[in-house]
Amino acid sequence: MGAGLLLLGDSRLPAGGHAHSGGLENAVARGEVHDLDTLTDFLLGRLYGSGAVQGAFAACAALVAGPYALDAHGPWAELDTELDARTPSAPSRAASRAQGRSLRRIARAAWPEEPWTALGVSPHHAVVLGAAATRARLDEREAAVLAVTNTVNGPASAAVKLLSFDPIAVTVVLAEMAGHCDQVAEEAADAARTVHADGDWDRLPAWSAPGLDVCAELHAREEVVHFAS
Amino acid sequence: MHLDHDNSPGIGSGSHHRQGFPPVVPGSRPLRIGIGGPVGSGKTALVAALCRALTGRVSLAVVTNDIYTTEDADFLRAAGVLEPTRIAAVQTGCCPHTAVRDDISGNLDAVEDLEAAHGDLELVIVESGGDNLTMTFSRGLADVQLFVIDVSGGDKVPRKGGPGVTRSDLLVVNKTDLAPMVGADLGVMDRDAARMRPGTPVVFLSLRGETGAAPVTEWVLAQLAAWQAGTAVPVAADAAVALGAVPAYPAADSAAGPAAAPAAASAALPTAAG
Ligand SMILES: Nc1nc2c(ncn2[C@@H]2O[C@H](COP(=O)(O)OP(=O)(O)O)[C@@H](O)[C@H]2O)c(=O)[nH]1
Ligand SMILES: [Mg+2]
Repeated sequence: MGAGLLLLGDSRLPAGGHAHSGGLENAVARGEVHDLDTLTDFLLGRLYGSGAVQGAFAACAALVAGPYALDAHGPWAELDTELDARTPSAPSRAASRAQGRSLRRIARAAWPEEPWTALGVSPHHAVVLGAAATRARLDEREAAVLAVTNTVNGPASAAVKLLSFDPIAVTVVLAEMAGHCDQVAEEAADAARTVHADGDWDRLPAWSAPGLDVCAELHAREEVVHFAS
Repeated sequence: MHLDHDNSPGIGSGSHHRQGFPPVVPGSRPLRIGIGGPVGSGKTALVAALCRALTGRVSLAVVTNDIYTTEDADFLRAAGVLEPTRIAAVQTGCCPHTAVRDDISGNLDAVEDLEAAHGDLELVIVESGGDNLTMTFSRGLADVQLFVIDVSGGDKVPRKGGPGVTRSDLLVVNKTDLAPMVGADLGVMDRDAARMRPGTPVVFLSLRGETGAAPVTEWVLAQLAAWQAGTAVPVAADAAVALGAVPAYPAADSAAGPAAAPAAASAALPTAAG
């Protein structure tokens, strides 16, 4: 834990996250999120639906990457397929891959000696995040923390922009949620360790939040949008 | 020189040469031109005029960043100035400025996709969503950038400065046809612009007028020729306009220049040799 965690967890990391609301824009458009309580509910859904899965995949990718050099022959394709299977909405898969592509661009520039091409051109965000985390001297639990917090921080900052919430109030919501994030990340990392030891990639966690898939699908059909997802 | 003295995984690449981030070689890929400026100043109209003027001469594509819709992209498609496959729209998450400066990933993806889809591409124009006078493109996205303001915002705009006005490679003052109606003095704008950005060009346009975008078309062709020849593209006069280095405001000429002919500025276009 150190500067590497802050580097990859910084919302200013230029990896495209600012243009994604994680379904929040659609939830706002349909009036489902309109105040801090409904925002909190939405973020908890993100955390336990999406965050728990993203965290496990990031942790697993960190274990696959290994602490010393990225393993070009690791089961990257398997992780990719498994995460696809856990992301039923096509626009959500596209959003994950767009952010993965952007993060991979940064990782390649920062750690050029590593075989990033092994991950594919547009890998899922959580997978690149886990691999990049190891290059930033982080372990699988920290990789999970990054992925899990990312699933709530992005929509929270989108809420500030779309609903004119007081940014301090939204930070209070996130502060209250930090303990939950740590717990979800801990469990995600535990799950990833078991799966990694056995090589049973299909046993990675598969929590879902169908409401978020609906948001993603409806957002993609919307004519006027501010966010890419 | 290695950052790490033990064999533990380094957070850096271990090189001071930033080997993962080589400088762009002019001519090695299509030239990328950024067009920034406030909402409604005429950026999309300029892009459409450029497309019309360059079609058949230059293989080009356009990326739009309209603030919250694909309006600009739709306009360009409807105007029929470019094949639809050569126009891409990027969503900016309520922050048009972020998308061209602080986090350019969405735009880079769009540019790279257009380059991959059109192997003959020579020029990519990126139109920003409208923002204020502090708008600039990151050099990671645009090799050269022009900034479009219009006279209807008043003749004080160039004097207000801001990175868009001071650091762009070309400042375009559009809608000169409206100057008499809004009481804007083009001579004042010309003189202020020259003071705010010494040595870098300014052009006055009316996209409704007869010459249209001709001076900008010439400038773009000159930039493209320099790029393709591998000569360095002129970089904005950063040093000259650094904080505190703004030249003293000249004593006001009693009679400001004629409202229609700021010729001094538009004559000073750079040539391909840059
Ligand atoms: N009178 C006048 N109107 C112009 C000129 N250039 C553009 N416009 C109009 O200004 C409006 C905004 O232009 P647009 O290109 O959409 O601005 P953008 O927001 O900067 O892209 C449109 O109605 C244009 O037709 C000009 O030179 N003179
Ligand atoms: Mg426009």
